[in-house]
Amino acid sequence: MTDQPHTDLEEAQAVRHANRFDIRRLIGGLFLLYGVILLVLGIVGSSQVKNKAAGVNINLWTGIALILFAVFMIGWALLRPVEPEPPEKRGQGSGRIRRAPA
Amino acid sequence: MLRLDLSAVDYTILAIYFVVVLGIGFIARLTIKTDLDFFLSGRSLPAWITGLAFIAANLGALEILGQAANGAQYGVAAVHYYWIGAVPAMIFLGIVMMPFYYGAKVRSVPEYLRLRFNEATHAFNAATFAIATVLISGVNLFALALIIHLMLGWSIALAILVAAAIVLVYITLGGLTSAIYNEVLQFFVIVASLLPLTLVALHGVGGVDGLKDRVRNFKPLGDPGLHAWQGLGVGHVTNPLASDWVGIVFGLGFVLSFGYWTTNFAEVQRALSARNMSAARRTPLIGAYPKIFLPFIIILPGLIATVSVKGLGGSDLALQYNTAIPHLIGDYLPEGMLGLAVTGLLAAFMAGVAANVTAFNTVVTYDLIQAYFAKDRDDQFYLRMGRLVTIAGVLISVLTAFIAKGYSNIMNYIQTLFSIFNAPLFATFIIAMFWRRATPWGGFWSLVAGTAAAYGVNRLDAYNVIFHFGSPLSASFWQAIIAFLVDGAVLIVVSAFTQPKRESELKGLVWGLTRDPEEEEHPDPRDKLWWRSPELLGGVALVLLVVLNIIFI
Repeated sequence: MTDQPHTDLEEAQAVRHANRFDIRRLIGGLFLLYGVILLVLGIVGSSQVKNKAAGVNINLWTGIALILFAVFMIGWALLRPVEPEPPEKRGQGSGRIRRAPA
Repeated sequence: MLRLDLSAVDYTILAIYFVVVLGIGFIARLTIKTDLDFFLSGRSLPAWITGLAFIAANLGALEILGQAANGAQYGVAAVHYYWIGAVPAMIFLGIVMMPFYYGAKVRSVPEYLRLRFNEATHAFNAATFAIATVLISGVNLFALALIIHLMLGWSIALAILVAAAIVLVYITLGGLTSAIYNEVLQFFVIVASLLPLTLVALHGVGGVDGLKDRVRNFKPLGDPGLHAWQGLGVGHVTNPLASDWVGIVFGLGFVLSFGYWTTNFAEVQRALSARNMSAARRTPLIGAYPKIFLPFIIILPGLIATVSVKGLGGSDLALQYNTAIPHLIGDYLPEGMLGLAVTGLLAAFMAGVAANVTAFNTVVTYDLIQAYFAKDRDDQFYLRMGRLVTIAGVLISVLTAFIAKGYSNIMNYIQTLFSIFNAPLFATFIIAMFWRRATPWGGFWSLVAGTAAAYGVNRLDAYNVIFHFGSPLSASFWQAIIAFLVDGAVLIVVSAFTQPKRESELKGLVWGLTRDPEEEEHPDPRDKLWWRSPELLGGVALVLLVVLNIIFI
């Protein structure tokens, strides 16, 4: 385990990287994009598109739900970001970047 | 007509997903410095991620299409696959077995057998696991290709190659981290498409009451199709599963389910990648909650399709029960949601293949190459090996996918594989963990005998000699029970005549001989929070199970 972060600078870099690669942000980003696409289709789609699902405008409702879910995921990632490992535990192998609590 | 007509928007949604998947592979590559990073995500993941990955790894093509097919064919009784056949085993894994796995610091399930028994047991298990996994991965790949073929009109060969290429790229680059991230992503996409689909389809057949009325009047299912626990008496079986309660509870619920969920490395690997013991134990427990509710978006649509899709269950390829969910997608989803649903299915199917490939590359690299062919090399050697084995594993899966193409009923093929490889293994594990007198050679011969017994029963049943079980499903339950009993008996008898290991060698590997508690690495004070207690999480899940079983009795 020679490549573990040892200095504060390396640790800070590792944390920035871990935050950019945080799965909550990835899920949030993807669902935001999907939510907007569905929402737009739910608003501008033809009446055939709006009524195919047993008369329910399914794109509209799913789009709204996905956007809310995306906001939740991104909010969670911003409020509880990945934290640096306390100095005394650094470089011990497992859990070297402590991800935000579940 | 099963063929779906995807618009440009639908293809855009699909394309966005695959850009993200491949992107995750490239970014995950940057986090990989050692072999442990590649095979076990550096043991750094929090429990909610590994917990979702734990069930998502199993949520492949066979699971989604196969369980929806069970819902369509057998009705509500198919919930036994979840509430009896999965969740109790997951709770048992988290509460009872995980301390042995994670505490022993093993990197794979076969490695536990090496510490507990001997190298012969280890090599036998690693080799059979590698073979079984690559066969199952091929079946998943074929099921995926078949459904792409039916829905999008691609040729089966092209679909197999494209799917295999995508899985190959993201696993070779990012290892288990890639696989787990994609499993979690896939889980949310599949829920985001199947939940709205189920709701509108239910609305389409007149809500819950409308569905009940139509199932009652539907031949051949009728009223038994609405109950999980009726007509299961031994000797007078009238339920649609054609199995009595002994077969369901002991065959499915105990042997098959515990064998799969507690010893299959493709599952256990997710928990081993958790960041500490507490997170590892909570992995299957957190996974248990979504698992409890999956029947509502997998089995329920199957049941709805039975009454709403004309001719479902016919002999035509496009009308097999397996196509229940694709049919509903075609009937109800407009452009937009259609793209999301197709994306969810393809994502889930690829994740199923990837789960097998990541388990395969770990076992082959650590348990075969490192253990017997190239000991004591540096990290980089095993990391490089892992990537090469991944490529080999995907290529072999492509070949086995073309073999699976030759079988008419892939579900029977897969059940056969599971009952041969998993059922005997569980007997060896459970006795090994609770009986310290079980000897190394007892372990080896029990696995050999159990595997042989399962295979023997399977052949006798296939040729209609001696055994007659009612249905292929019921046959796989009984095959598992017999394999379990033979395995257990051989372990006890051989142990009685051979030398056991010293107790000092068994510390942390068997019940009652624990390690010193201060040895636990990276304890986190927040894991003491009451809502992170494994016993509480497991207990609440059990109560939920009982309540749901009573509701659907």
